Amino acid sequence: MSTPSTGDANALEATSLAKSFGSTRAVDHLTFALRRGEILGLLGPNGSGKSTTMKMILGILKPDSGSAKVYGRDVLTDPIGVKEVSGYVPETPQLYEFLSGVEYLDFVGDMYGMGPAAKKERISQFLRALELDGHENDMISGYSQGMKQKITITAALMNKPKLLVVDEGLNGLDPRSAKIVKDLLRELAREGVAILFSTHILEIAEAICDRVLIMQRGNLLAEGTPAELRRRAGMPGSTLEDVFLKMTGTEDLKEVVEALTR
Amino acid sequence: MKPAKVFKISDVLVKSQLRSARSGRFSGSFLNRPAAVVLIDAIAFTVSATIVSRFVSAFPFIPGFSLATIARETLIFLPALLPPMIFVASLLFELNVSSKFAASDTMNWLPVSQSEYVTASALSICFVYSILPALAFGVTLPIAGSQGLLPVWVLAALLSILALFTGALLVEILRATLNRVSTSAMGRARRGALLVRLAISITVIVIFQFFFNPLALLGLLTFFSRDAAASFLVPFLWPSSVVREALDGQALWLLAFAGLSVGFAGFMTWAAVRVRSRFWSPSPVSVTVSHGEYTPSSGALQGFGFSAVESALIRKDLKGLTRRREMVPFLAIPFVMTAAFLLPQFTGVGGARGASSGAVGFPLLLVGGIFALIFSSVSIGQEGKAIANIYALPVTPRQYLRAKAALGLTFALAATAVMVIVTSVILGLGEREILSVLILAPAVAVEETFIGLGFGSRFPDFSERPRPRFVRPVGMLVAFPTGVAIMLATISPVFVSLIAWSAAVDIDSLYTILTAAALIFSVAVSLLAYRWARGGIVSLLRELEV
Repeated sequence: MSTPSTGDANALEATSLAKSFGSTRAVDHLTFALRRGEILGLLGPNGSGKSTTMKMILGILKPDSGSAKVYGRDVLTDPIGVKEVSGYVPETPQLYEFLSGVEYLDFVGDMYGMGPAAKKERISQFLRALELDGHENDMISGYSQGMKQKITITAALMNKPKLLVVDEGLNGLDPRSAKIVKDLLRELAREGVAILFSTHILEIAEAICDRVLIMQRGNLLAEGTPAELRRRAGMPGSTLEDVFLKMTGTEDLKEVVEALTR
Repeated sequence: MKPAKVFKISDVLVKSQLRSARSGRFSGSFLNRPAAVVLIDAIAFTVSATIVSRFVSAFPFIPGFSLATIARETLIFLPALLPPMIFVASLLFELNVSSKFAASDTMNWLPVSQSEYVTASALSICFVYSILPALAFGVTLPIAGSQGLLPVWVLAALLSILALFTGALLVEILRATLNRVSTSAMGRARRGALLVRLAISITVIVIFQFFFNPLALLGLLTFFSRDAAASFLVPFLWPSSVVREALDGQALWLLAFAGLSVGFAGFMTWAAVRVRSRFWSPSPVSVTVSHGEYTPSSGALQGFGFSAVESALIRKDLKGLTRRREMVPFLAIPFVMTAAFLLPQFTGVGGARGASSGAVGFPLLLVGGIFALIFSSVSIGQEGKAIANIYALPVTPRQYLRAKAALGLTFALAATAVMVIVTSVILGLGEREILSVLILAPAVAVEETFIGLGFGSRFPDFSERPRPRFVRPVGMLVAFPTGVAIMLATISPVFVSLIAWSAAVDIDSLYTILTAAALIFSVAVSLLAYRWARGGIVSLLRELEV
């Protein structure tokens, strides 16, 4: 396991993060770092602790032990400071459904202390880019899953965050919007934004992540670039999906599929 | 209609009501099982029966006031009293079905007929509130037993269950009617339409409360016809008429009223099914709340000393109040309570007409406080799962508390101001009492707002279920008596003054001291409640419950 460097280049430093829910150990002393301008993919099967890790980093969940620092701000002692420089796209959009899309984004802008002009510019840009214009005044309760996801992504980017935490952020997006978001993430990384990104779609992880962490049962299973992981697994030329399945011990799925179709 | 299916649906609805803990950690608890309701009912029945039997055995001789009369009247009114009780409880807890669940209710795509769903839903309401009849049966059993009226008690109990079911069906009718109002107004897709929907919904609730309260109906009919026989015209009183005829030994009338009662329950079932079939809208309505280009929100509230974050939180909650169907019953509370308290004044039910106006007007003083208590206690849980936004965004506990308190206080003080005017007129208060009411009634609104926020932050229910409650039952069970007791203590000088006035006793100097003491008490309670609420919110926002 790598230890976080303490240099200025690190946007995020997680040290020995641990969290249990009852008798279930969700995250088991996880240590990693995320550099500025880097996209770090967090991969793992369901229940491996990815979302819990992300929530602890943002101060949404309190770690049982360990610490996380975002741009030098400790999430335990300065959670508001961490949130001020971060943006978060949750796994499931939890929006105020009685607000219209534009009202929700205006609300989020106010939470970050944005001025009217900045809010208007930011909201207009995203509504146009993600093809939400025309629906912006409709109540969110009438939005499709994909539209809600677009609002969530826009909300996370409202304050031009320095750390972006994206938990399954492309869920429900149409191909055009998914491509826009992927390109946007790359562009943001080029501008120096640190991005922690979890997904179940390994092709996406392979395409946009600079580095990947594979988690299982709350532990860090492997860490490195996709090429490094392939080499380490002894599977040069295979896809990241094959490497992931081998590392997580779920590569032999043929019997499962056969049983289900019997 | 398949009874097995009805009972299965009813079972699911009851479980949905019971399993409302913040997290899944209590899901295996016995208290989350329907059997727990049966056990609690049995305990309530046994305890109340034991207490009353002691009272009955030691009942003193009072000329003109016999146990036989009490037994007769309680047995007659038992079936008439339960429907209004369940109706008021339902106003608070059953009509809050969120539009999200109304639109995606599993029942909409499963092979379930309207009649099966309506019957199951009404049964689940009866079951969840079964503690009310359990207590009533426990109280009346020893009284009836002491007079040798056990067979009549059994009859009254059976008719009460029938009346309870009929009352639950009325709730189903109101639920479907409100859904119609909602979808009609929403279909117009304008911001103004949302306010129209709110106004119509509150009006519908008040009208239902007024016209389907059997005592009010009897009072109105008596008022207009000056004829006690008018009770024959009130279907909700037919089960009581059965008991009366049984006590009088009028077999023919007994059978007639029994037939009418059963027929009325059948009619209500039919009506509830018809109304739901016609008015229920299974698909969500797309609502456009404004038109034209986006204009960033103004900082109008910041002129009142609120930060941008607090202003945004207040605006968000205000929009939720006017747009969310599940919030309507809470806004209707002052109107429903005022109607309930004023009814006897205008209808003369129960001999209240002509009695001291103080007895009628005094409870009005409590409307603002009760509204403040309930409104603020639900203000945190009503965030639902979207509370996750508050954890992810840079919001401090202080900002959150200030925003919640500001909105709650604004509404509570508005309700209080109206109540002070209405009460002063009804009570015919003198300058001294008006001054004290002007001081103490706002103090009650403030203390109750912080008490409510304290309970709301410590017992929030964020679960999004077909019937959200916003506050966990144990929280509301403790909050309500606590809040009302503090409220009564604060407002007691006005009550003391009214009693002294009735008894022609001059308490001038004592009154001033009592008012000052009550104010000091209220300020102290408010400060303590504020600190308690702040602690609750700090603790709540420390970590998201998963």
